[in-house]
Amino acid sequence: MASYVFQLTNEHGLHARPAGLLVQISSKFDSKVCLIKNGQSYNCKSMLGILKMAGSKGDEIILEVEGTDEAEALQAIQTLITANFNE
Amino acid sequence: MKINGIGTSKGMAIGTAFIYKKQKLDVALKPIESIETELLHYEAALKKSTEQLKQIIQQTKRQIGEKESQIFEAHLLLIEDEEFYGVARDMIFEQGVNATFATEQANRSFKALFQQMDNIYMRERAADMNDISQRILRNLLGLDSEFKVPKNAILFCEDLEPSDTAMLNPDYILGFVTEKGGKTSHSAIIAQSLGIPAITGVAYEKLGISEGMTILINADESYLIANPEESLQVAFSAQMIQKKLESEKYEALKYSHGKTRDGLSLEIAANIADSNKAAKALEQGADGVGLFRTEFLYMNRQSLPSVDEQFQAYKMALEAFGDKPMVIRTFDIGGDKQVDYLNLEPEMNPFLGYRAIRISLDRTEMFKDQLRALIMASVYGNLKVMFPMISSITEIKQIKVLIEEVKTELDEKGIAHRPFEIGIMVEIPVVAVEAKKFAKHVDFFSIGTNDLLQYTVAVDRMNEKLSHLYNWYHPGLLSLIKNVAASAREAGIWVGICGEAASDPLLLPFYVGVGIHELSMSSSKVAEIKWNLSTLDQASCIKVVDLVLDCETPDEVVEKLSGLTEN
Repeated sequence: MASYVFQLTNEHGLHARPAGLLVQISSKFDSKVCLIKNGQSYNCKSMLGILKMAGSKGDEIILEVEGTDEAEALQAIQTLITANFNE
Repeated sequence: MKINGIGTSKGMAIGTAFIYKKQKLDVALKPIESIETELLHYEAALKKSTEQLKQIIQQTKRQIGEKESQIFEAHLLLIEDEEFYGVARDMIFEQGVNATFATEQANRSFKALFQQMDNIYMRERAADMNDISQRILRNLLGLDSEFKVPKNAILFCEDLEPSDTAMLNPDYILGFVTEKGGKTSHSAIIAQSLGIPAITGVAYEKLGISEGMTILINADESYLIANPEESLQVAFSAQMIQKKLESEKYEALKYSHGKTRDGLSLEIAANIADSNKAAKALEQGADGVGLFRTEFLYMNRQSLPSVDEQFQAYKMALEAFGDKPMVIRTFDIGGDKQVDYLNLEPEMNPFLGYRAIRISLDRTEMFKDQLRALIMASVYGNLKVMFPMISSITEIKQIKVLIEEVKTELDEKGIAHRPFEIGIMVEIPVVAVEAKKFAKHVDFFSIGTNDLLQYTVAVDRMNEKLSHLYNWYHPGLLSLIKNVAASAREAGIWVGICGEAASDPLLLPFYVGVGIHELSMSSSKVAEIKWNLSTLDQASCIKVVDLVLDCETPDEVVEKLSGLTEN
């Protein structure tokens, strides 16, 4: 399992557009991808799952990836996060 | 009848009220034929909804824009998400209820989930949930998902949902009036990108607005008028025509360099706070950038930006402007702009405290990183570097030593750089008073009127109780500006203004009169100021200077200056 801890810096949090990008990228991989906020886990391949997390600016979040292609998946999602979800 | 609301997209329009009533959807619990047929019925509705969304995405991309279409991409992801569609499907399967009832129940639980979130942006996503469910419901009930709008319509509705706006013909609609929705609501965003006025917070039903009424809408001033008297309507359309003429008039001079009627050149520049805004500023006609605030690079993050990250940001902005001048100001952190990772101690008087150049000269490593990035970027455009909150010549000397250190270091590494001008913000009164001495040490001045005024009149500009004392027509401030300009001329350096007062058309003759070379402002003001400048001539502007400086109060200054434009 691979993981990455980050703080959400998007002005409006993880709203529909960035969440959509996250789902699209996560779904490309076979690995299980999830975000953990306040101890609760949310499925990254589900749009509703991500929106339910209600990620707001400043939230501390853990990205967890588990599966055969976890290294590539982590890398791809990490790139999206550091690019601030292209906002 | 005049009605006040909240303007969410600027503009004015005259049109006919069209009330968009959403069809009442029958979502009652009903007996079903069999679970199997009901599931098939539900799946067919999902499929149809998916197809419609794909079509809307294409249509929105064409008619409105790529970014706006992404909201429907998000809808599509939701509708294809098992966590979403599975809720109603499982209800049908497990409880044997009808699909419309199940969809509505699922919708309610989703909406409740989002409405209780504490992030306003997420709360407004309840509207997206509702939108998708409504679409599925309409398809379950076999209802039309489009609606026809007559020409010249001012559309009234409770709240526009994203897919409603996508189905509208933008050629027919002149404005939106909604009962609900805020500045970040979808209808506001769409109205802005279509360039039509929108007002929200109007309970039109209670106010008795009915279809076919004539409506005047002025979103700039957040009001609308229903059933106006003819005289009022005439006046309103005259006002609209005038606004349109004005903007066309401004448009004509937008891309030519700012100059007076008699040919004196004055750079009308833009203030930007982000490299991404450089292109936009150019598009709006800026002759250059008079103030590029670099604080954004340091804020909303956990650690200092690297030299390379900064270099890329400066390079991008400089390249966008090519030969046109770009003044980049080193970080003005502290005061009201806090950066957590720097661990700055809270202060009693942050505006008089540890901020801007005072931090730079104390934490020199951090400052040298910024200088390094700037100097490396110098080869990509017409760079000028400016320093904020300067109060003594010693500071300028210290800065110069640091610049030389960085240059030597880059030379040793064989990294190219180009000579560039250095200047200071004139925002602390002692600098304005002693401008003559400071002018010998720099290549330019930029007067920051916001802080210069606040420090000169001893008024906290955030304090609403004192706002009557914070007035940039104060003859004392104008006298300081004159002194700075005269000192600059004597020393042969150039001088600009980058506070909010820079874009005040009333003060423009005064600026020309004292010999200001550059005015830097919000890029949306550039075209208007260029036009105003083109109506002035130097000789009359010079006369304005004494006229203004003889005044005793700000009110008197305004009176004198207003008198000029009327004649």
